[in-house]
Amino acid sequence: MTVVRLAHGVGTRHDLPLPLDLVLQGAAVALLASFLALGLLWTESRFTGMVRESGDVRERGRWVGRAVVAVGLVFVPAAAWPHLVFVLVWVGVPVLSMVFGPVWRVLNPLRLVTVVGREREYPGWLGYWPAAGGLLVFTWVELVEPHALPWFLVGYAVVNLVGGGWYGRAWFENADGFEVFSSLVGRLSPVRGNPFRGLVGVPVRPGLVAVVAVLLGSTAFDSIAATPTWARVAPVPDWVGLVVTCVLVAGVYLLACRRFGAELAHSLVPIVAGYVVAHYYSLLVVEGQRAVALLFGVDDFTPSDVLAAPLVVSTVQIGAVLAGHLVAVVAAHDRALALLPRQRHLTGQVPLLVLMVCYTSGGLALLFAG
Amino acid sequence: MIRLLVPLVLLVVAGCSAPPVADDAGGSGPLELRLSVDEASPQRFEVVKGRGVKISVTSKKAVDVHVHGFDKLARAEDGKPAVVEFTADRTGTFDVEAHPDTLLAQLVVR
Repeated sequence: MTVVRLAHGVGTRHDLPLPLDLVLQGAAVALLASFLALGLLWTESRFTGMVRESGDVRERGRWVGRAVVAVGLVFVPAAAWPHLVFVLVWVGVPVLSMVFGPVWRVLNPLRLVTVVGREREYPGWLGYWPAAGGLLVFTWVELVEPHALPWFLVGYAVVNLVGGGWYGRAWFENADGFEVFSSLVGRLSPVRGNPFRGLVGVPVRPGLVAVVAVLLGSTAFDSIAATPTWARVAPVPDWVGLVVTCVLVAGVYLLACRRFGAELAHSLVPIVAGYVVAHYYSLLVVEGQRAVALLFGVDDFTPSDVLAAPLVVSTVQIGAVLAGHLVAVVAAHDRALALLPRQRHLTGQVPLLVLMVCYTSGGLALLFAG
Repeated sequence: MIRLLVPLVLLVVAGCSAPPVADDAGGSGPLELRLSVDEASPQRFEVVKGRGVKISVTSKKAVDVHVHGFDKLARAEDGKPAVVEFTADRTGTFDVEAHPDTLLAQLVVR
């Protein structure tokens, strides 16, 4: 069998590079808006965390939907699995979550195990670390070794069935990377209330920064690895590049936020969401069509490129990155007011603000990079 | 903090500034690219949508050359370059690759 290096695990087409002038204008807007916001926004913290999911009531009856998904998986043709996972689950689920709230916890068939399993107390020190690790392994499969997907899926199922059977629902809320990702970006869902209150309500647990860093770093690395420059000069193997990018993202963030790192991590979620949309939009609208066709056993479907027309793609990309940045700045501002002593309200926010501008202009630059 | 970040930003921007991109201005015939697998030095080439592209690839070892997105395959052998001809009728960025994973060039079709 010929091994084909694929974009994002599936697909053979990358987006056009963003025009340089759009990148520079976008970065300038981000910079201006951030420091204007610092001066113009409110001076007392406004948003209190939204308590969500008074779990048990909502949980009842959901096993039906999960059972339907589980039965449906049996009928998925073998050829459709990569598209199902890399497009519909990895990109489609987070995008749906941004609109409707955490979707994966409703759909995840592995959660069925909680019906029969036990509910032991989940160790607090473990926090989101298993999720961060799982996401890192998945992005390695997606970006470096797509042919390891079947092994990943088996491992994912086994780990979550065992963990979920042992710790119950708390396992999935903390340790299932897909659910943590879906729940984090689900906080932004406008149909579930004020996204800013949703964001403040993100439970701060060990490993939160790692999860955010893996999500941001892996998407950034995907852009880096797709450039001819990386192919020409890459000093290290791809997997090292992936890990180093994630570590860099986390390191610079922790350097900017110091001891408030965990408490402010929720404010990076909109940046993650914006960059995920920008990065994967065309994959979702083009390969998403193919994914649906494959699910119905149609192998030779040619997706339409209409929704991925260059102007549409660049508009979505710039719009998503800037919208994510603005929401992030407001969320960070509000939280910083509550965390920082009054005399440091303004100056204390500057490092994180500068960092966010860097992430955003870096993200835009990567959409242009060659 | 800022003293640390400014060089970092400069580095990122410098790292991301694209290498010189071959231009497509004014040509009338197909865009012709001569690439080598043995001395691969991938770059981006800009093509206007609708224009023809002719790629020839030399290699000392026998390899399959693949133009992604247009699904063109050709085999290069020692002394016998692979030649692929097609019309760039889709927009996007497409990899030209020698399998398994040597990137030879990227076509940017606008």
